[in-house]
Amino acid sequence: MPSSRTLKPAPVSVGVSIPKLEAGEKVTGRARYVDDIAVPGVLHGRTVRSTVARGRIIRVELDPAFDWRGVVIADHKDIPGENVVALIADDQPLLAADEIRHAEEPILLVAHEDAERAEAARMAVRVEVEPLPAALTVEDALARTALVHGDDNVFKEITIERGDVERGLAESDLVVEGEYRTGWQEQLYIENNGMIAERDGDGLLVRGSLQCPYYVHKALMRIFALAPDRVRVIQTVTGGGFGGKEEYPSMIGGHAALLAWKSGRPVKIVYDRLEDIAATTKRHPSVTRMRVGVMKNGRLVAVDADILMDGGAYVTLSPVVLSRGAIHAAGAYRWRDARIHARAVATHTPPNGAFRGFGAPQTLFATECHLDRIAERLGMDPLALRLANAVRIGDVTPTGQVLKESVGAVDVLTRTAAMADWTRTRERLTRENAAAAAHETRRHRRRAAAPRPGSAPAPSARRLRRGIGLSLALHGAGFTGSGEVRLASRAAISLGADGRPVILTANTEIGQGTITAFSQLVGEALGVPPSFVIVHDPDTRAVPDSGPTVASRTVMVVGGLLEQCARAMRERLELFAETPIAGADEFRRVAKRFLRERGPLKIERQYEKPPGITWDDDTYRGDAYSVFSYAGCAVEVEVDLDTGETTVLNVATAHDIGRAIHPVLAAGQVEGGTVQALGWALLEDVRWKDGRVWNHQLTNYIIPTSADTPPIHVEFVDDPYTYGPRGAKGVGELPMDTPAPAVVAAIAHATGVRADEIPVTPERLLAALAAREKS
Amino acid sequence: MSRIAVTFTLNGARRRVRVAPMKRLLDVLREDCALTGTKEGCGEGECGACTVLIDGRAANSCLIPAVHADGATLVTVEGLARRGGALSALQQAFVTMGGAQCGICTPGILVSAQELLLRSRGRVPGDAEVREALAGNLCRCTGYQKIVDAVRAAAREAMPARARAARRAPKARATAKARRTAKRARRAR
Amino acid sequence: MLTLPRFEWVEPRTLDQLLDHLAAHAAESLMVAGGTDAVPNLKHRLHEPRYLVHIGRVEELRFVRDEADGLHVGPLVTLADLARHPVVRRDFATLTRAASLVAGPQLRNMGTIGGNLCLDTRCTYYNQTFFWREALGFCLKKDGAVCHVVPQGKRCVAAHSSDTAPVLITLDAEVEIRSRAARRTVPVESFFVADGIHNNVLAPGEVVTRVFVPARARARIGGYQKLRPRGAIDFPMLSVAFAASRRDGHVADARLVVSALAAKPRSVTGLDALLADGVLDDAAIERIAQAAAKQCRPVINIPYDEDYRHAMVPVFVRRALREALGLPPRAAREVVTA
Repeated sequence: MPSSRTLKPAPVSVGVSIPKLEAGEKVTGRARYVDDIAVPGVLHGRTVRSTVARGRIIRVELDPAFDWRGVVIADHKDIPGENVVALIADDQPLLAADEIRHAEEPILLVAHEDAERAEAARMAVRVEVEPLPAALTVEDALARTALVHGDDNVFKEITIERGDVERGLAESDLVVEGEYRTGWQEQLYIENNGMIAERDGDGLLVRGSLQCPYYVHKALMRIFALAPDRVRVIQTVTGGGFGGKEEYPSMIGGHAALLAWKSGRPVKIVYDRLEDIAATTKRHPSVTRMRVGVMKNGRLVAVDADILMDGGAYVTLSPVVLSRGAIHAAGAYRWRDARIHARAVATHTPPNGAFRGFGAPQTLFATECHLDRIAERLGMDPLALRLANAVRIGDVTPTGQVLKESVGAVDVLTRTAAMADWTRTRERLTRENAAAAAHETRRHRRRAAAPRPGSAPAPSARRLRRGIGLSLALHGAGFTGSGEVRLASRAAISLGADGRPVILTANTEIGQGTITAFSQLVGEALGVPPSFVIVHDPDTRAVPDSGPTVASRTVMVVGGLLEQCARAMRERLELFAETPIAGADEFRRVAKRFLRERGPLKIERQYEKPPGITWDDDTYRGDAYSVFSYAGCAVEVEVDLDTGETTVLNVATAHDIGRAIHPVLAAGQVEGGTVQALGWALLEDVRWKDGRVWNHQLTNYIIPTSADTPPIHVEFVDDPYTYGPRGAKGVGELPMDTPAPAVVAAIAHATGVRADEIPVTPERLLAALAAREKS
Repeated sequence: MSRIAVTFTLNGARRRVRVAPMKRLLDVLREDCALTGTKEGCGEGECGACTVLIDGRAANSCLIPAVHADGATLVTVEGLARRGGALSALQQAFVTMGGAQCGICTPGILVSAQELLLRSRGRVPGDAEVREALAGNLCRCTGYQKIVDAVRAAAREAMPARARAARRAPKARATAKARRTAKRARRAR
Repeated sequence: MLTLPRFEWVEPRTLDQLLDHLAAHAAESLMVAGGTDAVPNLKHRLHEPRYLVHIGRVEELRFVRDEADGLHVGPLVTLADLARHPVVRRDFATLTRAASLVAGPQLRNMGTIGGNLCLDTRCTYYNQTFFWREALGFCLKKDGAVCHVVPQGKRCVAAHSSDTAPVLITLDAEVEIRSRAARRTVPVESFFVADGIHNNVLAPGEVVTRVFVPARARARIGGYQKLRPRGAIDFPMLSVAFAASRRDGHVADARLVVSALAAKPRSVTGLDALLADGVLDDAAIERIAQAAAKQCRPVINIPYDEDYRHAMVPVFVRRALREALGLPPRAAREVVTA
């Protein structure tokens, strides 16, 4: 056996939670976010928006009493190229020209070097609009009370079919029906949207808070009719995204650039919280009708799902949100027959857009709630029903995808159940609830029978019930269908002049730890510590288009490309040095010699789909994703029967993300996603008045505080994926999928009342409790 | 617009600025003092991203007119590091334990946590106490768990070594006691 | 961007300076101490004063004195300091509780007891930006002539949102009010007026100079219950305060206040009759809870369902009463580890 002592041990960092590389700048206040950047001579831009949902612009008037000196004004006529925010359908204008399709639609831009003057100028613009009837709800839109899009107000319709659903339902012992609704949700990153634009020679430089530099790049090229090399987009340190900075920064970047283009001065547009909540995208609200056929022994046979999502007034990303939602609607279960019909509907409301989970949390909410309803109808334990039907290796999804490897559905369920001590906890809570109910009944009878004056009040006043609920989800990593093939992402590593490796990607750090995870993957492949690796700022002039930072794709897809680049670079350098390289010093020495003798070195790799993957966009058949991640989640709640308030006591969740590159960061994703989902389930409610969001303040659009948040226990099951870097799959969105249905299930266990609509606010739950008591 | 002179101690140094009296302290810090670590998240005192210490108390700098700060002692996130710039135990705990994700709420959270640590010197605040102390600082990334863990870890770190030893397992305590006894015995000789 | 309007900053150092300024410019002045209420409202142009009078440096208004006749609290005492004060904690636990349930930690560090008493009322249609209010049409509380809550309403129904006021009323507390010319003392209960526009009885030139809780309230049992959507930050959707003296198993001097529903706190009337012989038992609690529900009816002034808030009145009355009796209003919420 050859001695291993002569070889230096490879530095291990993948799978180890090294200190987060991005964090040093953030804990000292040194990190520069877009609003922290001082730009000499900058003008502050403001956006004049529609206050009505639909109408025709009659006239735009500048208040003659206002001092307009020094104010730059731009409208659609100033756009050098096309008046469009390029995305999927190119139907959304950068600035409304004559037709208003939703409240808060941008109409005119103003800028001034004094921010307060700019704000005053915005208020001094009067827009006269002839209001037109608007379709503000999905129901109105489908009834065509007013037309938003095409002749049927449907942006996109998808049907996925496998087997024969009608036959499946007919042959089932039991058919269970249900309808489930989810509401809007605001991403509510704590850093509001903001961009800075300036002329850069004969082109444009746009910097800001964003997830996808090349989306902004593409949009600006169209708006300004500029060649690719004349538009430069750089991401600044970004204070959270969650999808909210996927497509909307193209709009703000376009606005800032238009003002800069016209004035020749740098222009900064930073939204305040009110504008950000009122005008930017939200999670699509949804209605899902489920019909499921099941055998008495709990075997699921057929699923028939009908999904509606409200897309808002323009197409934006709705077709792909709908697509992911439809594909995930069957859940992590094996079905013989499936039919999923989904429509994205146009309404005269601000466009909804990307938000962590991208349509999947909505449909998985329906599926998981429905599974619980089925378990109840069968008198079966919800865990047992899920275990019996969860997908395993070799199972086939409704699109016909054969699950070939890294299928952790059963593992995450089992692990979650163990963490929560599912069976015993459920039994204990059932027992305690029954005892509490019996006690209250006795007390009530006693009081009713003999209201003795002077009798001491009973020891416990509150009628509290506890419950535990469970859910299972899968989440496809990367773009849907042929998306990754079409993106054809490229990532690269080059050698810096100081002999350090430089990662070149367009993927952005928005809190999740992109820089750390990339550095770990590349460092390990190169045999150097992660801190030795440099990650270049996402700058379209310097980095290749590695695709957007969305869809849980950063580590799995782009990290995979980087790992290939790193391996190739190491091979190249070792061949050059004629010796294995280990450690930073050796790497630097060899790299510098290479640069001297051979010149620059840059290794680039482009995405290639894993072998055996096929997809047909027309029929929705094939491998929707190269692989899925899986999560189980158990939530324990306490419900106050007198107030309808639900308190989440505890969350236990197990995730199969292949292999965690950085367990602490991965757990951070899970914990954060879980709390965001708890907010969606219980608290967060966008309220409307005539098509406008009126709770656009943090006083009234409320998200969980530290005092509302339970302890969250996270575990990972290890099930490496062959085609992910070091076995990694996606993690970012998955934790958004499971908590909401688990909360609803826990409430049902606690109270016997099933909430089919979220958020389950105290008002709603109390009304449901009252309705049950009456019936 | 008339300006007035406002003087305060900022992160240990005296500062004098001439500003419009109603300029928000947040803007004075960010614009006039070029300390952009303090962030604006809502401008209405709801999110806590702009939290600074004023005379030792955490407060929302977006709600404070500049003149209000005249004569005050202010600490911002930039003033939390040890002398020489090394990270404080609190900052270090956030780095190693995943307490900072996107980082925009981090300065405000660190400042609120700093007040808690100052107030609870000599003991480790419980989970609920930390959550209550940070309830005025919204975070959308972390779910708060790692923040709470990091604050408690920093409190543990900040405790005097003896108090830490006393809190350890009985065995450790016994060892420490044995060591002291041995030391006394040596001295007695 | 929410900016502060332009105003002249006035910063008296003594009460006399403050009163002098108010005597001359009361109508154009807005007083601010911690600024936690006034500043957001200024940003929304809900107030447009010429002078912003910062009273935070009038040191003679910052005191807590425990004296034989009762507790004297200066209006500048912060809610955090009030909540931590040992005498308040010992003798007026409900006041401690109410003060520590206001908003979040930073706002309690800044906000004062005087400010909390003088808190502006709140309404969905009022606490909005200028631009939003303009687009919808101004309301009668500010700049307009109509009420968006009550059609044809001529009286503002914005919600009183102070946490400490209901408790102080149950403790028979008084406020001392001074102007340059006079000094008067008003029970906290009479301090508030219900038109929602003028929230209290302060006449131009007057300022609250002291909050006084009489010694007789020390021995009272009491409870304060607040309904809010989250565990922190939020204004009350409903608040209930109760206090009474207890002797030999009987209660006397019972006071029950329900607030956050209308423009001023409401004292529930007829308690003596409902408390037959001063016995506070289950049946009496129930009678009081039902009476409170009958006497209080919310409107849609804040963004929560008014029927729900109404339904919560008896629930929270029961809880406040039980809290006063030392019965756990809420089962201990131990966290079960999975």
